[in-house]
Amino acid sequence: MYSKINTAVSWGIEGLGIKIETHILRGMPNHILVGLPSTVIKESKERVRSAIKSIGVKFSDDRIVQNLYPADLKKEGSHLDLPLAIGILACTEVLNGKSFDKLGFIGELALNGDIQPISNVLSLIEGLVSAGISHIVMPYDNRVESRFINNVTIYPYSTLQELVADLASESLKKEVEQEKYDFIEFKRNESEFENDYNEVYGQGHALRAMEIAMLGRHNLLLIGPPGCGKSMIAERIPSIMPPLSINERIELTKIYGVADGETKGMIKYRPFRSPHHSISKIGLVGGGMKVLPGEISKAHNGVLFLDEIGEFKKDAIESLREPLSSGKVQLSRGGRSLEYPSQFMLVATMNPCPCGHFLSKSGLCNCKVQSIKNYMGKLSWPILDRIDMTVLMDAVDLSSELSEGKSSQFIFQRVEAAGDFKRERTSEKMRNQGQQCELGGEFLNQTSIEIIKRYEQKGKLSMRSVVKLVKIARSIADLEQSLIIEKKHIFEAYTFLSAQVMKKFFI
Amino acid sequence: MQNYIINYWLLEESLLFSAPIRKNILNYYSDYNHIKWRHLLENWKDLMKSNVACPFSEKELQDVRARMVDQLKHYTHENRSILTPYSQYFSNVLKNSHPKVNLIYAKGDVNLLNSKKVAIVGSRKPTAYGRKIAYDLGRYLAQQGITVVSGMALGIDAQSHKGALDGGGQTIAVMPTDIDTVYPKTNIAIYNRINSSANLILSEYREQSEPKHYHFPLRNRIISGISDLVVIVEAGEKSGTLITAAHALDQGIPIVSVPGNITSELSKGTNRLIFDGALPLFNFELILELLDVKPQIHKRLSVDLSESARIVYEILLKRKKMTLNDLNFATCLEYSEINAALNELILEDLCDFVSLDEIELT
Repeated sequence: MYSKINTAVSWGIEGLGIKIETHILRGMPNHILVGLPSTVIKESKERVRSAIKSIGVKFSDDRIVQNLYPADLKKEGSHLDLPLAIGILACTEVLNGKSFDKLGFIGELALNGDIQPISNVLSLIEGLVSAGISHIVMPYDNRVESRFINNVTIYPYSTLQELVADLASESLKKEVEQEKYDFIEFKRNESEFENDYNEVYGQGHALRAMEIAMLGRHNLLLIGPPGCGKSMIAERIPSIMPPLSINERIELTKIYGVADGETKGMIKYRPFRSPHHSISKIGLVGGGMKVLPGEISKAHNGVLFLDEIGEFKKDAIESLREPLSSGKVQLSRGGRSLEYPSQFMLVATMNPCPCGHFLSKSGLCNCKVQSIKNYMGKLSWPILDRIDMTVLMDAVDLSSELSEGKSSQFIFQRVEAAGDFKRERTSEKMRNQGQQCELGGEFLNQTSIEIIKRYEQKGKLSMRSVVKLVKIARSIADLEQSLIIEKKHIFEAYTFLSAQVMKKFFI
Repeated sequence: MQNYIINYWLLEESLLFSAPIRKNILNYYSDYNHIKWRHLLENWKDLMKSNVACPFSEKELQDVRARMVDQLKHYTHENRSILTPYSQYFSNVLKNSHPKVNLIYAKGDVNLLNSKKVAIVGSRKPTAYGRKIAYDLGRYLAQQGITVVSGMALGIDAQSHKGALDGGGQTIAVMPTDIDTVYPKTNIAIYNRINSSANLILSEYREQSEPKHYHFPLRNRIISGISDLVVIVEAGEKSGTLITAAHALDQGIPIVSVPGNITSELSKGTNRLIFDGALPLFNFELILELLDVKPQIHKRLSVDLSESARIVYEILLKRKKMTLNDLNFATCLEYSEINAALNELILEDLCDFVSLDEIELT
């Protein structure tokens, strides 16, 4: 007796449709799995046997051979339990003769026959869809995620018993249609954020930098002595991040689905990842035996925060070069070559020198030039080049008077409004309005161009810095909802090329 | 003058006499200027009190001399010149220095030697404190119209030159090599800045070569010798900088020493100098007082500024030095406006950052 069941395995963050063939032959009782199954799948045999027995069906005493097609592809994941079990049952009298050509199955089995939720459902469903299967049986607890994919019919089941009964009577129960979009809309809830920017004392210029960086997704480096509030400011980034779009949520959920059981269910917020500085290169960019995504992919569409970037391993930091410019990372290992998206915004902090007080008002620094140069040299030029904005901070004098800080809510709304303006501006209709002078693809007025020229003449700007300057100035203009980059925007943007300021103090 | 230079070259460099013979000749004629070569050749045996004949014929001597006259053009064309003790720029102090200074090669504006000059010297590997003092002092003096003298070494020297140039003033670099060799190479940027404007580069050495170890202490006697005042910024207990101080003491040039943290290695030398009687530099105005120079009033505003830049500038005029937080509180401007205003002012050279978040009027 022979059966063929459709299912899928994940390949990077994509899914790939595969088939499970089952053949029950005469011979010594045995259950053989072929087609490059991983250890998890080999262990499936025991779960499948128990689950089938526990729903009151006799497990075949004959020789069972199951083949995972295509046979040369390494397969991972416990979600093959259900299709394996259905494959065996389809060869017995319980489901004999039924054709499952149009159906796809995914799900993990408990020993008592329950169908357990799995991770990475979205990629698997997409894999089945791309293989031409649009009717999918899957764990009941995963139904929320499946609602994000259109044009598929989902049959959520929580026990093998129910499923087998419905398959036998050819009356599968569909997902209730009207529930479909209820879960998709997701509202920002202020109380969900532990920290707020109004708790930051002073450092208004750093908050302003955050606002600009968040809008333009500029990479940002905060430099300052210990205790001046660099980490405090960075840790509050989640409270001003704009909400995710549906497509971004789907993409992120797929990434997290692959990354070893991180999350089950949909991702709600933009990720904010802050790995400790002991992280390895593989932990950061991804890879390893299973070629899993690293922190940079987990921070896709969000923020990767590297506190004390100078303390990170040199090779780990250097490996960020290509992902920082291309927004994706290509990993190859053991014949597998996978690509993960990694469009993260880098936020990093560091001290200006080994003791931390160089150029600080406190005047405590006793470091020699060479040791400061060595310390700053931990960040190579290629990495510094990819960091658009640098913010210099000093400890706040507690005796001085300060204006009240802005709340996260206020900054968030400004960034939101500016984001809307930016989207509208980049649309075709606005593109040709108010056009004056173009530099780096952006529109500037004549005085702005003159200012940039003056900076160039003073030897304070390289060509690459001009591009950065215009990029930052564009974000500042967006915050003010101005179509043209004006003089004041250029001037403000120049603040964030503080590498210039730092350079002044060295020979 | 020309005679002096050529005789010096002939005697000291070209003719390869032994040291005792050179000494003999110089003693007899008392000065390079007065050497009579024909007379010397005729009376060689008497003068040398020996029977060995002069190794040169008169013809050979004339040839070498002609070559020297040719070379002289190279050292005096355009902005180059050679200073001798007969030159008006050669101070009495320099003439009486020990070892004697015979010639100085110069490139640039030699009139600077008649201005008020302050030497700033110190360690090659200074701390952040020393670097800051050297830069700020160089800049301050430049703005007050005082010429800054130093040796273009790494560290304090480079910072003081840089401060003077950034402050829009003039500076004199005394090289341990010849005037066309950049030493150390990393200071090429500063060398070019000094070379390309109305500054002055001096050296005792003619040949292009790497400096010898004994050039450095000798160079220091020129630094102190041409200055009206020597400021020692940072020095270890046994350092080359203290050699400059010793030269200054010999030459009778007043020494001002920058006091420092007593735990800092590089302040041990300077603090000791204060103990030994040098004046402590407790503020920059002290130098003006010692040189009898009147401080200049701050320049008036002549450029068009935007509204917010004007507000920030006016408050800076009152308070001189402010942090970004202070500015935000005092002006009630947003940080976006403050940053834009500050960069506008910095571009006009009206103020600049002096620490991570502090701004000071220039």
